[in-house]
Amino acid sequence: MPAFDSTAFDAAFDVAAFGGGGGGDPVPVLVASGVATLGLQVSVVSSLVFTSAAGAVRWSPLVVIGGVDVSARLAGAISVSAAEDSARVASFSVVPASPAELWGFDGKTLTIDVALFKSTSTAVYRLFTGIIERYEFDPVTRVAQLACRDGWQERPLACTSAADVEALLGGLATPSAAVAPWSATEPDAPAYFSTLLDTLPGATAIDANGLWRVIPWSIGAPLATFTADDVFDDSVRVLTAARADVPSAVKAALAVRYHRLHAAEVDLNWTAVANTYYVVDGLPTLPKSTVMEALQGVSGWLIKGKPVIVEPLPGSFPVLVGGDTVYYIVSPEFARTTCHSFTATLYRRWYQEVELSYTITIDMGGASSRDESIRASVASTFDASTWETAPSAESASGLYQANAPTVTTPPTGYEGLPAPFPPTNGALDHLGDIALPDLQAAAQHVVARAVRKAASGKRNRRVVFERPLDPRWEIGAVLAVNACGVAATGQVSELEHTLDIDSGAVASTFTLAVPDSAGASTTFTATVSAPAASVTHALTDPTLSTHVGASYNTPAVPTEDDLLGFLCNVVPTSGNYDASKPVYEPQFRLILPEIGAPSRDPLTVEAPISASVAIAGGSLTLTF
Amino acid sequence: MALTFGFFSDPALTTPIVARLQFVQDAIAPQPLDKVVYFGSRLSGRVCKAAGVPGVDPVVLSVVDAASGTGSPAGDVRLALSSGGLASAVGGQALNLPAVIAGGQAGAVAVHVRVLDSTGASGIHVDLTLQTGALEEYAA
Repeated sequence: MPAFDSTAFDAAFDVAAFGGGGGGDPVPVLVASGVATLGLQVSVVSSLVFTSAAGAVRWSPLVVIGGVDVSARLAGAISVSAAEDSARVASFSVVPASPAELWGFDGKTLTIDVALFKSTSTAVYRLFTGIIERYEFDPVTRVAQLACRDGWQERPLACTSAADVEALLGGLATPSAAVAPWSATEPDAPAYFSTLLDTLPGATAIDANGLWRVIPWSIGAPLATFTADDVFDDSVRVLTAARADVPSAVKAALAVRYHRLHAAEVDLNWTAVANTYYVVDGLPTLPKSTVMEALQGVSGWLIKGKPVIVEPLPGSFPVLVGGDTVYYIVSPEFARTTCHSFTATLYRRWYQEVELSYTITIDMGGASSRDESIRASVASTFDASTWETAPSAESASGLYQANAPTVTTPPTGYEGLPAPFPPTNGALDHLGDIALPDLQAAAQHVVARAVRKAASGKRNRRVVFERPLDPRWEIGAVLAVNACGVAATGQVSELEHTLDIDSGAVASTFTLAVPDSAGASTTFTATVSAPAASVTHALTDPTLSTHVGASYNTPAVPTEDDLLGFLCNVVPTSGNYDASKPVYEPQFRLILPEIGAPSRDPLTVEAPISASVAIAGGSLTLTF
Repeated sequence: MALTFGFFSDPALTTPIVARLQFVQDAIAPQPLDKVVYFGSRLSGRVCKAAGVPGVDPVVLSVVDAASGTGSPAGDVRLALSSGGLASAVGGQALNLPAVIAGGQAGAVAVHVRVLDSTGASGIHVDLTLQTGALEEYAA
């Protein structure tokens, strides 16, 4: 039997092309083909149908439900209304052709058009595009009343990411990941949309064609001015903003909680007394270990670097005692464990909790003292407690006098402290994970909310008027009315079209927002400066010396605060011994300066947000 | 199977446009009217390519006039990928979309449409359609 010949297989054979094996990218699968189309309808109209010249206007509705023209079966009145930041709704009545058609209405898409005719002029306008929300059927009259909606609420609901929501707001909203984050684990698009909508210097709406629109609050020259000839008699009304809508001011604050990191140092030095005292008074010498224990034992303070401990010189040193010369002997073994003098630096770090409030006040000019404040906060997640605490201390004196083996353990004490290191005897404002761009975005978010609130309040000053059906204008259009002693220019914030099939009456009601403000558009700029600590710690270095007790030189009442350094006593056999004087507890006493409360206690400071704010204003004058 | 790619009324691709998109023009003094529609698919796992050389040829969007000589001419319609691009767009000229258009909201392509009537003839003109070239839709 011949052996298996692998060369019999063509090397060009590509198993991956057949989906075999485990590697490679998945091969795209063709699932559909065709073309996509979007029909256009160009409605060329004559604006003459909207003039107030003498003559009659005829009109006819065109209602198409799911592709079926039901215009001939309409009854009652058609109503279409729209407002900022809400759904456009429509209602009308129709006689269904069959139970099946009636059942099929639910959820069907529909369009409502109107054709206007005046003399030889015509105009066809779309009034509504949406879906049937529900219907109410009267079996006696066989008329179904349909309620329809444009799906404004569904648009944010369908978003699946922060970018989707931000796109829906046309890039005009002011997001902030710090104070208004999108939750990837628990996405809530409507809530995120609502949050961002509160920062929008404008409004959203769906137009008659069903197109989503983001409308800036901007009031320029009016697209049309309607006089008394153009509006229905007695239809003009002026509504002032409620006191609650226009407080004296809108205040906003961004609270930033972070840590101020402090560092302070003191320098220490001590030198032993002359050898005479050791001989005459029998004073003990200061062991190195006592020095190190003292240096390491000050709560909250760390030894910076290595203390420089000078040993006494070994040898015999003549000392004159009562006319006799005696020798003070220092053996090499004794010298190695004894401190003759030392210098050291002790270091302390601590943190202070700071709440910095960036604030802005937008004057509204209102009389209400109602508190219209907006507040948001962002907090650093920096672990200040870990930062403050040094890794457990190793013996700073060391085990070895020479030839110490290489130590691989992590550094401890001062050397093991984590960054950041504040300036010496100063402080550092540390924002942790709050980056400056995040801080700016948060400030802008807060200011945007304040601007939106202020502008919304002012936009509640309104002028309402009604005129014959005029579907030319959408939400956001700037119109003017000059009738009945009211001259106003504002932005359409609400509209309603009514078409009564039974009576033939048609009308449009427009509500103009006429803010009392001077700007042409609603805009703002806002910046904040990163906090910067300006702190200097001037701690006094303690004066260390040798204090001898039980001596005739010992003060009867020592100043305890000054008893810093080596405390020891004259031996009872010494001629300088005085049993009546205070006897000290032998020790090396170290008391370091206190850190003042202003540098320790939680701190609250305020700083202004550098901002400029403009709110679009309309005009309104009344003439009696 | 039908294409899931099509035209939507919002950047989040929540609502497909099912009726003709209306542009109202004044017969005597028409003004350019701009609207934005979004081309894409709700299905994030899908990809759309031109059928010619998929992934290389751009997806082309054309203005098709179904009744040349009557209604509105294709030249009344300008297409662009940005509002600023409408100023320099040529009426009736096709618009190149990306060669590969991903499904999902992130892949939506905003198409800016400007209509300026040149006929001055009152009435409803429904002879114009925006139409892509032959497309192929792939599932990743």
